[in-house]
Amino acid sequence: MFLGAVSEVGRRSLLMTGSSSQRAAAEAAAESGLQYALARLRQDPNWRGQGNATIINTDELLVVEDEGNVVGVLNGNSRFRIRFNYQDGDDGGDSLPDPALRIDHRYVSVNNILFGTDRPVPRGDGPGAAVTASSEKPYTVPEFTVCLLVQGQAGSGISRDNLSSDIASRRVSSTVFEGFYRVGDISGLVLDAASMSAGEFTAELPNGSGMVTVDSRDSSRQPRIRSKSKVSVGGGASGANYLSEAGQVLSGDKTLDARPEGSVDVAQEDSDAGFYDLAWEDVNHADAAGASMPAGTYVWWDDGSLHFYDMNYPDYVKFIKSNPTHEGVGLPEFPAGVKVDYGSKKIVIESDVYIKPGTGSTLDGAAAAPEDFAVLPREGAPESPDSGIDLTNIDTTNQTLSTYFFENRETLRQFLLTTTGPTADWNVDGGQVDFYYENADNPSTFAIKLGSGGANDVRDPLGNGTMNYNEYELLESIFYYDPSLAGQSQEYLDAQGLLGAEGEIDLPGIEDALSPQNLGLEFRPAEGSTAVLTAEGDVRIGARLEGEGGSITSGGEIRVVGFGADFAADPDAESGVSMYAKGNITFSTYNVDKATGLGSFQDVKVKGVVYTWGNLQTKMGHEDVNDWGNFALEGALVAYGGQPGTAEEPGAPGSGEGGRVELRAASAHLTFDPAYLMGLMGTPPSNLEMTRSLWNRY
Amino acid sequence: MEPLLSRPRRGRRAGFTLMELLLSLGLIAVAILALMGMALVSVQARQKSFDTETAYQVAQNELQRIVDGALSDTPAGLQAAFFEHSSSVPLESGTVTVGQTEFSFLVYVETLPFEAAPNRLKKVDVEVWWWGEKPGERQGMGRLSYRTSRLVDEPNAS
Repeated sequence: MFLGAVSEVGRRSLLMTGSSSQRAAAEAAAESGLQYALARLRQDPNWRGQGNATIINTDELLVVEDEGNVVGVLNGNSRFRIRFNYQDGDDGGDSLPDPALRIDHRYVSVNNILFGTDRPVPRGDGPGAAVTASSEKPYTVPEFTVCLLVQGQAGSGISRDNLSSDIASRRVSSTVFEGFYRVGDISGLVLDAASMSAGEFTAELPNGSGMVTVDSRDSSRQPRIRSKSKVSVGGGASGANYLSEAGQVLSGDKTLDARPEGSVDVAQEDSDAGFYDLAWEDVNHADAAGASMPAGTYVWWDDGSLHFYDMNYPDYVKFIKSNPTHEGVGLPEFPAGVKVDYGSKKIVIESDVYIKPGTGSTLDGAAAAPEDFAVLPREGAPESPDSGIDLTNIDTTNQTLSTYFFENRETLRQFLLTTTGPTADWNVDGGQVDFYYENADNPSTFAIKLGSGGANDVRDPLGNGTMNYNEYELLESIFYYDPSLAGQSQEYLDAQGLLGAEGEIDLPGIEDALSPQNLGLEFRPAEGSTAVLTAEGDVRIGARLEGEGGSITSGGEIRVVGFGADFAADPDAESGVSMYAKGNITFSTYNVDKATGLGSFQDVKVKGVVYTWGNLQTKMGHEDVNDWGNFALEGALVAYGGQPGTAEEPGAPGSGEGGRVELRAASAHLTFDPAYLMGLMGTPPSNLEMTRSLWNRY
Repeated sequence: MEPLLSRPRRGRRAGFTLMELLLSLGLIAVAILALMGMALVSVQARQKSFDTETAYQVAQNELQRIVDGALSDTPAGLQAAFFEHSSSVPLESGTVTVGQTEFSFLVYVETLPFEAAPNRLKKVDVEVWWWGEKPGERQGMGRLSYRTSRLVDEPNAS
């Protein structure tokens, strides 16, 4: 009996050792499968095992892909298996035909790298390990993330000759490794940062409270702000007003004008270093030949009706002031991916939509051909309590007046609108500014005469020589000439609402209770997809911007006014929308309670990338308003200050105009996450870096 | 007293003959030898089991060490050496002593043929053996080596 026991112990020891080695081999196989999948995803972020061929065939490794199912055999005695295929028929939910190489385990991987919305991870618990409508979906994989479930097996019965074989469990050891991998740095050549600006980065906080906070979603990444110019934070809490733990600030003058908490590494920004280089051609656009809506201005009235005017916003403002009760042209037929919810006064965008430019306006023959998209309430969407004109503190120490006005075109436009006539003179801080028609044949343009010279002594706004016609066009883009203003008094202009809050439309005889907070523009693409709104001209949204998985691309400016929410009441409110504009991007969360007339600024959290060729400005505070709004962004800000380059035409940041980031808010919290760049990019890059965000084992 | 011939028999006899004794001892000796042989085999099996288990651990440890070091470039230079290496010549070799047994190991790294890849997918093999100068078998003991493999994806390939 004793010897029998000794013999048995010896035999069992060998068996246990064999089991232990099989388990180790199964784990090594599962880990190998993960590494293989990551290598394939690095080649192609779209990869879902559709190689449909023998990918690797050496003496010690065979890997075959078949319509989303992947089997790899290592050393002839262990294997890994990955399945993206639902095995639910050729027209199933995975958009893949059924493979010949079937896999019997239930763990289905999901590639959500390119999409801005969560997707469910299903189990193949139906007949034949199929995913069915009633299959369990225990959790979701987040945006810009891939969920990889890899089964590793080791033991007898595994063979290179029969990859589809289901092996009895007593003959193999099996294990399943699960990893979530999120897109990390898209371009290893760019020093990443939560904010990149060719011009100044300035944050203005209320006196006595508030902080600018900069961090990274991935704690292993150093949080950073980059500016080719200066970085400054004004106002804020009496102690520190800037927080960025272990963070870095790179500025053109190697300074940080703020009161940082703790130590912040302040270093020199390399003038030659690039930013995220997204040219217009590289960005995801709605197909011009696909689903479209006509360009123009969409206006909600108090009675819940939606009206369409086939003209750009500036032309609409002029037109409606003269015709305040005009109902516009008939509403266009919306494409399948655009729904109008009249009850909620909301336009819902479910898939890509192109804003189709028109050839002219049927309402006003003089109006420009429409190419903008605007949605707003009938009385407009004010961006702030007043026009924001303040010419008392123009600093001409370090810049000429021409430079100041060139950089602050909106101020110039408003300034000119307050004149008593088009030929008045002003003295502004010792500088003399005249404006007059350059010539009677071209009354839509103005020239700026600086200095004390005569009418013929024309100084161009850039201060670099004689004005030429290109600069006339530049001025025309700053403002438009309205002949009816000639000779009018300031009181007249005020009555016309021209001195009111920017964005406000004062219609004589009309009292409409709607504000942007009563309206909505929501991006609601299907799970695991994105939706893009593309306009060749400006995009002006005077409504709550909601939803996720959306992006707005504009060949002009983007202005979003009146969005946001009170985070104290609605902490989960956020806008999961990325934005890309060739012009400036402006956010304002100003909201006026029509009943009381009191204004306040809402909070806003944007989850996405905000990318502009020009300037980014947030208007979430004003000295005349008690409640300022809190600004939060998870993603990245880029104010390129010029045209981003392409392979054919490289363009450096700051090679053009603007590039400033101006944040005015109760507080600003920037959380860097480059994954959101995926939502903007038209062509997914190869060589993606991915960071593991979750690990599990079954 | 009865005559001898009329006394009844009481069994064959009281003891064993010498032959019987020798035969018994011989049988017992054979049995003992057989049992000792079995015991020896069992002990050897247990020893092999223990050594094999140790070899697995050594192989796993060395594999993990190499992979972790290559991915983190610790020590400095290992990452480049690892991802540049692809030949039948081992990347590393060494020995690990556990108890009374010395385990030798070799680490092989090869680049897998993987078309149009911006990065390199490597296959790492670690072979461990003991009781000999090279991996192999020993008569009566069977295989005295263990080999494990894993794939490693190159991070941030240029």
